[in-house]
Amino acid sequence: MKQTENKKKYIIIGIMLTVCIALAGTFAWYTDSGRHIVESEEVEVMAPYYLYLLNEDDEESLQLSIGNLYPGETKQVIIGVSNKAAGETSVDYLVGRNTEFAYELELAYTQNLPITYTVYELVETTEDQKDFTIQNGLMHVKKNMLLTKSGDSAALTVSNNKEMYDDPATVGDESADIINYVQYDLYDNASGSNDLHLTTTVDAQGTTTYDLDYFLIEMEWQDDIAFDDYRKETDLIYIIVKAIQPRPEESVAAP
Amino acid sequence: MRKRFRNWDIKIMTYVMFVVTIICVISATVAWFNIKNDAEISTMQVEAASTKLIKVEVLKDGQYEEVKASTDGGDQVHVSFDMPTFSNVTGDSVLAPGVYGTIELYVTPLRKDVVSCDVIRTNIEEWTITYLAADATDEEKEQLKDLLRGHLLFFKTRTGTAGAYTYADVFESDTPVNYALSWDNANDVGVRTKVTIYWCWPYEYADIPDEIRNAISADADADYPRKYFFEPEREASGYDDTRLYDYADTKIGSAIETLQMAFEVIGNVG
Repeated sequence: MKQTENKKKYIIIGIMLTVCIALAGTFAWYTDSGRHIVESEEVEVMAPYYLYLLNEDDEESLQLSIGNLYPGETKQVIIGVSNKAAGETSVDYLVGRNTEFAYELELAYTQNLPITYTVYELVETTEDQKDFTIQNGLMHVKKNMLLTKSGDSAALTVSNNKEMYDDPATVGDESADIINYVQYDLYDNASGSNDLHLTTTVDAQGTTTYDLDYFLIEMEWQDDIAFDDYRKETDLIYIIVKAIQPRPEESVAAP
Repeated sequence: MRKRFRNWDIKIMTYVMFVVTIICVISATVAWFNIKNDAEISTMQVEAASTKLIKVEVLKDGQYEEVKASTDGGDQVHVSFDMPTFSNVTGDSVLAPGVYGTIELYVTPLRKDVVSCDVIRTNIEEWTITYLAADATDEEKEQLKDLLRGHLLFFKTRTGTAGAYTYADVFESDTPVNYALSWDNANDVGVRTKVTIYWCWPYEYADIPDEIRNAISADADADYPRKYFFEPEREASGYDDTRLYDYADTKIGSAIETLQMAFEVIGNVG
């Protein structure tokens, strides 16, 4: 008796569930019209232009370290800025297209030491080493090339500068007598007021030629500044280069 | 025992047939109301109403092809990311700061009572994005998606000339933008209506349309929080917004290889 009653209950429950599913499915069928999802094609995102800081032999990444600077002394370092990494013969991100882009050179340095920083653009000279006379400035030998300060020997001008206290490069306490804060000097014009820029060219045979700019950074201890006050001081210097992606311009079809 | 069984059998069968009858009547009634707006019964036809409200077509290789609804089978047609040819970029049809273009669809109402459609830029979570770094963390991916939300913008309206366009009526994520549809009563067919979506990647911070740039907020819950336009880790650097925006552009270009976005089109019954 009890078994029969249980069986009835199970049958009723099963039928009710079936009805509910059928009902729900029916209404779902009437209300569902499918989603119209319009997908785009897969689009490539252009990689930014890359810049590399190289040492004066342009074979290694730049490792900057200047030590033992005394009052009245000037120390120099040559750096290279290129659109190709040291030791690389090609880059993957350029799609065989002639490109030219401008860039900014920036020095960021703490000011614990009384140092003046001056940046010069260097160019190769064809002057024979023996006959070369120093007229426009320093001469540097790099591999088998001579580098000299560019034509008018004028230093690059600082287009923008600022001091900042809150910066990851800042070390120390503002309340101390000698305050560690960072000075940013931005250079974006070569001597002669032309933009700093790098060019990549691809010839008819598909050979790519990359570009390399040289700069001389002079660090001079300012005159009449007592050495004893700064004997154990150290400054941090950052050299930053930033490519400027040129604004894309819509090409106009030829008539 | 047998007599009880027969009574039970009859009761169950009666109940089941009653329920099935109810279902059929309801189904027929709903179908009937969907076919016609005026409740005019000429015949007792049980005919299922059309569930499709619109037909969506996209331009593909010079021809318009229908975009299938998700319930249909077959391959999906992808809309082209149409853009002009630009100089100063490393290839044709690459996304870069300063480029812009259009996405074109055709929408046709399939029923007389469909009066408009909503176009929705789907949440970026529905986009397909490939990253250059195989080991990009989820946090890095989320940050990149945030930057895409602010650097790749979509609008309903564009005026002006090439290189000096003015954009309005922004497509915000998951927010429908309405387009009116119409019906050709003479021929009793829907009018094929063009829907154009304008997009751009502002070259500089100053190029961001005013309605968006003026709404950029430090509030993380705002419609346009700063994290959509600048990298959070650089906010403390002291750089101005113009330079921070450029850094964010570089971050996108150096981390994302390709992307594929999605829009949803929904018909509206008047």
